[in-house]
Amino acid sequence: MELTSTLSRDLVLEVSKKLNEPQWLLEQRLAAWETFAKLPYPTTRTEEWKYTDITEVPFEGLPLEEPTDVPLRTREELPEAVQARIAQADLAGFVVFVGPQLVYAELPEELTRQGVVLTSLHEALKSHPKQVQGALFKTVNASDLVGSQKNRPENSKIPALGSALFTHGVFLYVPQGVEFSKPLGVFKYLGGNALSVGRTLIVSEANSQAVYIEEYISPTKVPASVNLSATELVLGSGARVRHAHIQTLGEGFYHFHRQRAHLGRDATLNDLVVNMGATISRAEVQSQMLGAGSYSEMLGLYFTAGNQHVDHYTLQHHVADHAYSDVLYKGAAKDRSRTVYAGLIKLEPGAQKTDAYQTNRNLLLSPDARADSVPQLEIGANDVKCSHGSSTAPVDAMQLFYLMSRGLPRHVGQQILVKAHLADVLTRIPIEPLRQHIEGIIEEKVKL
Amino acid sequence: MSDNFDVATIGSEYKYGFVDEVKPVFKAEKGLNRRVVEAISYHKGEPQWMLDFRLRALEIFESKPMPRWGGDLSGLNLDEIYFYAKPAEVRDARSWDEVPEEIRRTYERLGIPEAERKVLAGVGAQYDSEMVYHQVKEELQRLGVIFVSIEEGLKHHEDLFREYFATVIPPEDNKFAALNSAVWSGGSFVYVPKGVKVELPLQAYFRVNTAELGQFERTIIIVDEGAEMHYIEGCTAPTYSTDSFHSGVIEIIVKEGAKSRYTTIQNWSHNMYNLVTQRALVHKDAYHMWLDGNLGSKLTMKYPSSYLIEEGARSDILSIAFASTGQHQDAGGKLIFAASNTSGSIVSKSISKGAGRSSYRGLIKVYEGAKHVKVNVECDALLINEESRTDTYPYMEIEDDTASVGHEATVSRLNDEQIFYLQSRGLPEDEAAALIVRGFIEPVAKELPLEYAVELNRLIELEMEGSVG
Repeated sequence: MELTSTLSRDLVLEVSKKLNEPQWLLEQRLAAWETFAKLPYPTTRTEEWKYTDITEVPFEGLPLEEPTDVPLRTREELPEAVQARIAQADLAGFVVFVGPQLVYAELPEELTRQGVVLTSLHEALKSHPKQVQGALFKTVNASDLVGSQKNRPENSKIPALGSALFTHGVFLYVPQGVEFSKPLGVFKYLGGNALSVGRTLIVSEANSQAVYIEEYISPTKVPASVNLSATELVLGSGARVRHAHIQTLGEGFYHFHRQRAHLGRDATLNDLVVNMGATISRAEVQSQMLGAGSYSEMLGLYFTAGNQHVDHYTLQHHVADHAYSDVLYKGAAKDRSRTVYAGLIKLEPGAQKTDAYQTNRNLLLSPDARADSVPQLEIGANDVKCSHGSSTAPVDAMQLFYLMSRGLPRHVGQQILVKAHLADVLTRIPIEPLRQHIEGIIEEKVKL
Repeated sequence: MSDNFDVATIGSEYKYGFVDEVKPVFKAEKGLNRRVVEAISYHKGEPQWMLDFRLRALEIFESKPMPRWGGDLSGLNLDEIYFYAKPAEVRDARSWDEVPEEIRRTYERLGIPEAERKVLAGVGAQYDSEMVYHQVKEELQRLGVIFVSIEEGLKHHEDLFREYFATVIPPEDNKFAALNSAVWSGGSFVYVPKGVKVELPLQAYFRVNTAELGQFERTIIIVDEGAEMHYIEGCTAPTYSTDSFHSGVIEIIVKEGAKSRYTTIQNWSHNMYNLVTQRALVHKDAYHMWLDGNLGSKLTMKYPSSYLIEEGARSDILSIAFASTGQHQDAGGKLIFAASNTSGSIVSKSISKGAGRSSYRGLIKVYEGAKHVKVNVECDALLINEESRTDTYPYMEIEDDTASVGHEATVSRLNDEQIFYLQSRGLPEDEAAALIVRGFIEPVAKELPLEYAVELNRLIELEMEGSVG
């Protein structure tokens, strides 16, 4: 991209040193750096990036947001936007990051007593070194490409950068058999004007149950800024995890997210990805059914306006038999914005008795909006039930006519129908305060 | 149609695998270079502009990379392919009597002359690189219908030819369209004048006899205002131990209010790479249907496409694919909507048997400003055995907010319960399975000319014998 890059191998060494990391982690970072350095950036000629042009993204033109030692804050000292979210979210416990710093944490005694850990990755490296080393880079790494993506290694470029230079992270650990159903939350407040690189590692041991929400918040408008995030989920047999990734970053942000879950035998993942903010955002959401009987529900919601561009890629990778996966991604686009959805159901030979479904529905709300949708299947087993559906259309003229005949002005009728379109996904989120929060965002956007 | 006219011997028992003792009167050197292109042009006695066109296309071909998607092309070695083989001195005979004896026998074995008498409006026959026969019923000739080899088209209708040639599919379109543009030989030139309705189908029959030969037919079909026609293309080849290569380019222009239909029943032997570009330009209130049957070949990559370029244009694509062990059918279709009030549909049915792999690859594109487009895509895949494979890669690019676009796909296996039910009604298992498969492809098969549909049903029955249980 730029002739002089702000990134270098020395920077990797510096970050690792500053964080007092063990040797194995430094080696992993350096290996990721090698991958990053040798690969080209994906372009619109790369199949998976066909509809998303990232030439304008200043990956190497921004200072890396580097960790410094700052003291913990009180709740009142947190950014107002974060305080408002905390007040509304009704969480069991939460931590707050401002930039790369963990500045506030609240975790109920009851959970810590049972061995639940929610802290920064670097704290966890000291307190739970074994658990971190066993799981970090296990699901998102340089050799994680599946199927024909392997022919296009540039798909690893951005995640490799994330692995080489992450400056902070979250570690959630739920020991075997421990269950909680009130959500834990992480709020990440980003100031912008920097390259921000974070990582989340969730380890949910056998027969445990956890609910986790991660939210990205920033000022509503920032100079060009890049945020890279990676989320790794490792679900032991019988584990049940509900995970949500909520991105409401301001204009000017380029947000790139890759997450991948490994599901053990009979494990259940209920996943939600909401992309409402940022100038360009891309989320790659992947579930690998490695254990028989595992279940992955993957929900997505997006609503773009202005010049926004949002790109989702989902992967349902069935390695084991008797597993179930269901993707439902719904979105709407207005003004000159663009939405992209691509998804793949991949069944390895032997993934018999699989049930896998994939649905993408888009609403186009203005003549200049655009939606691209590529739902794909690669099926290598025969005793399976797989289907996918995709549709792109304006709001239904008949329904709109009905609402108008009941006395509603056109724009109000249209707003109702947009909300109804997205409500399909919302009704599948059982966390009431989170649902209300997302409804609030939609409500605001639909009226703009 | 007679019993020996088999449309599609799907699967293992390939009955068109016989080799004729026909030695080409001229065969170009192996591989592709400027000399080969010049030799082809020389043997056809072409005008200079065509040679220039071919040489430019060769440069484009050489500059384009091989596709990084689709089927596995690593086994296709272009240096080992003959790009031109002239089977006989006679070209485009008007009577079967003028066709050399040994070549005529091949077509008799395939049942072509008999079918011509009974159910076709015209027949064209290509043997290796050249069309050896072309004839159209006299009354159609009187109405001005042109149905000749592409070379005759260039020679006798040069103005009409130049007006349309390479306008629908320019050599820049893709690597294999460029290749075809450089070395094309054979194919049909069809013109149906204003308002003329050709009731019976025109049929072209493609046969590759020489081993390691590439066949590069080029067809132009112009259906003038208010006219109607149906063109059928059938293909077979002997089974050699070495691979052969077929890469055609089909350009169709459907003018205002016209109706056309292009049916391909491709039953190449299982050593054939079949990479074809087919495209129709559909004008105001006109209609075009692609019926694409892919039963043979080792690898097929073919996505018939319709460009709906004026208001009220419509197009349907029906695709049926059958892949057994060693075969990859990468087929599908593209509908490009560039005008308002246009509509279309794609229905794809694929069956994978043994370790066969069938893929659907498609594109729906609605340009900004093309208002009130309606399009629906349906792809269903049926998997017969445990190691059978199927893929679906549909692309939808929607730039207009008044478009209504839907896509649905399902993958299923032969349903045990349905077989059990049919068995309980007294059907043997094989017959039950065949009945279910026939039901599965029925929405596409019913659009086939009757003789083809009957034949296809019979063959599915044969194919399903012993494949379940």
